[in-house]
Amino acid sequence: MFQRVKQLLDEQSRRMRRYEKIVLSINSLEAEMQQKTDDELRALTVSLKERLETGETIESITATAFALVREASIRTLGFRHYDVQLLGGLSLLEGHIAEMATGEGKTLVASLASFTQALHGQGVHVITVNEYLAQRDAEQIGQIHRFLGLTVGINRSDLSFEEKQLAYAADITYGVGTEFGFDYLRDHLVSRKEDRLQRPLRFALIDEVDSILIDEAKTPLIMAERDTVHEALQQLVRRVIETFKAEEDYNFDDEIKAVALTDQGIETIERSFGIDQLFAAEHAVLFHYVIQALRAHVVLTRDIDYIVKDDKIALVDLFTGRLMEGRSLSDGLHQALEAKENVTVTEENRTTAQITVQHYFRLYHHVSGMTGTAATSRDEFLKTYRMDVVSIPSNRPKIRIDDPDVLFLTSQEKYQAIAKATRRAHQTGQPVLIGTTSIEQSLKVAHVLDLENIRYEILNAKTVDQEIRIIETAGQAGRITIATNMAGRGTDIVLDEAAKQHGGLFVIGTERHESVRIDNQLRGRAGRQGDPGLTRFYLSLEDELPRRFAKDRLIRVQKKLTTVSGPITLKEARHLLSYAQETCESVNRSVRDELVQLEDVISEQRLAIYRLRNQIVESASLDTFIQPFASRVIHAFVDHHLDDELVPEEWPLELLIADIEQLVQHPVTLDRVESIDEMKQQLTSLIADTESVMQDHLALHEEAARRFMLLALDEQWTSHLTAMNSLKEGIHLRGYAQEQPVRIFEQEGMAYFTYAIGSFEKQVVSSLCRFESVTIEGGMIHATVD
Amino acid sequence: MQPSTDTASLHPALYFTDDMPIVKEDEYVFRYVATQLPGLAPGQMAIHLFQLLEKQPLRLIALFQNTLDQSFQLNDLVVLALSGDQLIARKTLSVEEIPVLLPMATLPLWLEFSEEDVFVDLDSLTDPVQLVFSNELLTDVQIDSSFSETERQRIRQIAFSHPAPPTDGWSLLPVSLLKKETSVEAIVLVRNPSDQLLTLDQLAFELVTGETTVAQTEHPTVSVFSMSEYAIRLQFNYSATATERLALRYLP
Repeated sequence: MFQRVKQLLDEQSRRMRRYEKIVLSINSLEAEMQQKTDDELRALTVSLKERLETGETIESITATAFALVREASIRTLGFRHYDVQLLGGLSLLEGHIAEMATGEGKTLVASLASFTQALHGQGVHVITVNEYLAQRDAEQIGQIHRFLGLTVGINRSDLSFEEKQLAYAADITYGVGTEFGFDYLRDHLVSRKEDRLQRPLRFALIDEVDSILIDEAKTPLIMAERDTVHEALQQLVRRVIETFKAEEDYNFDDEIKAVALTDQGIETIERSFGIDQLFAAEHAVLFHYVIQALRAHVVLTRDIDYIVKDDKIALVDLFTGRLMEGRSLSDGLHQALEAKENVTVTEENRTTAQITVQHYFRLYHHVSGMTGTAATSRDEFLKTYRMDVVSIPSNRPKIRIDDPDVLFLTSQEKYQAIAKATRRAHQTGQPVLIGTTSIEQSLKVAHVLDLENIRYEILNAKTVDQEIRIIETAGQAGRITIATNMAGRGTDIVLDEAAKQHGGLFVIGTERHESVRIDNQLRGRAGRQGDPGLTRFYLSLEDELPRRFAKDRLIRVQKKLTTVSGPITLKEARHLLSYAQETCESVNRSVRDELVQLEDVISEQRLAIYRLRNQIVESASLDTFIQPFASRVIHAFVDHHLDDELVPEEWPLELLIADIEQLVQHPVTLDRVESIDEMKQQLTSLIADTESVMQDHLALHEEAARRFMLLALDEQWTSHLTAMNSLKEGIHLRGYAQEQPVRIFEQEGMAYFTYAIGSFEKQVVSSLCRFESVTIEGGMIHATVD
Repeated sequence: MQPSTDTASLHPALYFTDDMPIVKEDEYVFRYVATQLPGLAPGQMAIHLFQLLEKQPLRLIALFQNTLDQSFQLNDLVVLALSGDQLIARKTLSVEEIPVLLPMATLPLWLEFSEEDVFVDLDSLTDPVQLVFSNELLTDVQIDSSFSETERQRIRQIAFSHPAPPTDGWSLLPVSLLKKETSVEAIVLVRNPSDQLLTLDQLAFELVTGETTVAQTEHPTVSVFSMSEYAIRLQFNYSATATERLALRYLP
């Protein structure tokens, strides 16, 4: 362990020494740059581009490029990059995470790496926390880039296709990560290559990288379409599930709200629906309905997670207890709840494409990031993203004071202490920022301040613009601001002179967050650029963290402290909070790690499907693409119906013939041969004929066939995604001996995937054999139960 | 799934083919319903209503089960649709409509009934619909154009609701008796289950109330094809009261 720490420290210091040498080179170029005219600086940009085109490495032009940007910044914005900012720029250029304290000018640092990487001419994406900051950075830092002859675009969600095309064509494009991710998904739902927006993904620079790659790890980007639920099947599944008993038919993990069938439950489903293997790929649709019904009945509780109102299900926000108007659960879960509660079943949101933010960013050739708080998660960044964290020294020494935590027995005492501390600071004119973990907690703090007649500003579900404006003024003397930790992130709190004289910003934490890193984010609001500042956390043993993650120790400590009032000094009690936070961090890290691994499986499959899709969109002729389909589909029929363990007389030859006849659309005769290999041999000429028919029909209807194939592939992928998401549910509760959940997911996911690809190929062969049917028609009849 | 057997009965496995107009979800509804069906003895066939799709025209999905040990085709097998004890429709399954039936299998079949094979107003049904195979021998009902649409419906319903007479004779089957202002009108089916043309020179009938004959009539010569039934109309000159109970008697 110590060896590893030492090694990492050595690496860091070696890297820093190397950077410092480059900084010296950059500095040595400063006088030369100052002598150049604006046009000469622009000409230098062109020459750097040419040097990269002719094969020079980015390292060979870095010093000149950085010196160029520094000079352009002085001429356009009047800001000169400090040497430490150059260090930050170098670490970004190499694909690391630059950890810089708040107020160190991260935005200006980003200009160095984004400019230099953009010289490749393959596009650079700068990812900001919200669209407001994208706009601000594109306008401000964009002045440097434009001055040097590069183009800058902003990728916003409200842009038209043409406007987005322009934004993506720019050398440097600013925007929110999710919007880039959605564009990637949309690009893989188009049928013509000219309808795509993105070029191959080369370099992304992510601001507040920890919140994107760690805090949002559980949130996938989902594109969905409306679809009707099969109510008849839903009802039948519900009928079976309602007979289930906990621990006999299913297991439920309350901690992570996951549910999984037991062997007995699986058998009941199989018996009720007359099937052999519920987990077989061909039964993924049924499995999905079963899992959603089970979740609706077991995981979600009426009047806690949702209420029934006006023939509708209304979801409850667990943090605030308020109804989430207009929100619904996806992939049929909402409809399963509606069926459970006997209200009108609405249309479901069916996932047509999905990707997690971090898997999207892994698609870039190079990714780098900036944040004020990454060092505590360095191992995770290294392991999951292969990105190292480089701590950049601050330009001026930090003088902020981080006080020890103040701990109380009850939350009531805690809130009273917060109110007192706020009043004391306010009386001196010191601005106070009270950071909360939820809107509900913000309201509690507001309530105690009201009782003390203290005036404050509360950030509560306002727009991003308003939020930023309030946060920007939070550093004025006498201000009191209550905000959740994430509010206005990316915006500095600038102190006015009076505030500086009164000790700078006083940040009050009201609860330990789920990780030290997030605590540090809150502390980082104070003491920017060598400003004075103070941070202090007010905690209680009734806080959520100890209750959830240190239950046993908490009981012991509480017994010792029953009569105590005022701040607690007992060492054991103080350790308890750190212990709970560490446990929480470790649990969350494992969950994230597992989720990333599960998502890796889907990610591999997505890449394979997108490769297929791109082939269909881009191939001038689809002949070669479809050539192997007929033999694969017909051989799959043989393998499905015939069994080497049966004597050939027992083979259900009629079924094999029926399937082949339906596929090729003409009568087929087959002899009862001795082995499966011989049967496949017997089918050789039929396969050749089928291939020839398919080629003929393709030649006549190539474009219609292309459209059909894309629709068929998208349909299979949509069904597959639904199936994979169902499979993920409760995967770790599945009682397979010694098997890792990820391993099970990989194996069963692969079977599902093979089935989806097989179904796609069958659809293509069948349609091409039917000739006229290549055009897409609906006309399905949905069965209902009388 | 493999066909299952228990000590008492066989449950033939359910099969789907690609040309069935169903989505994957439908499959599981079929499977669920199929698991609820009663078992069969070896060498049996059965038909069950799965779902009524449409009433005009009558379209439905049936589950056809067999425990025969080889594949076969159906031709001219008659399926009757009943509601309670009322015959509501009838359909002859033909080779063109029904695929090759696999051995020991349960298959969904999509059936459409022609307008003339539906005998009642389907909207007025109160009992659930059931399907049964018919063992009828008389497969053709001859009805000339003098009969109204309602009469034709009624004649066909009666014809197919009653078992055929023995093949060595012929029989008469009353269909309806209608009291008019100055007359009584009757419709009668002449049924010929034999394999030869039946010619009857003249048919005499009398109208009775209790044991009293109140009117007589004759019908001219009738020819009925083999394995067929023929509808005739009889006219009696008699003014019946509303409450009078009338019956028809054939005079050989």
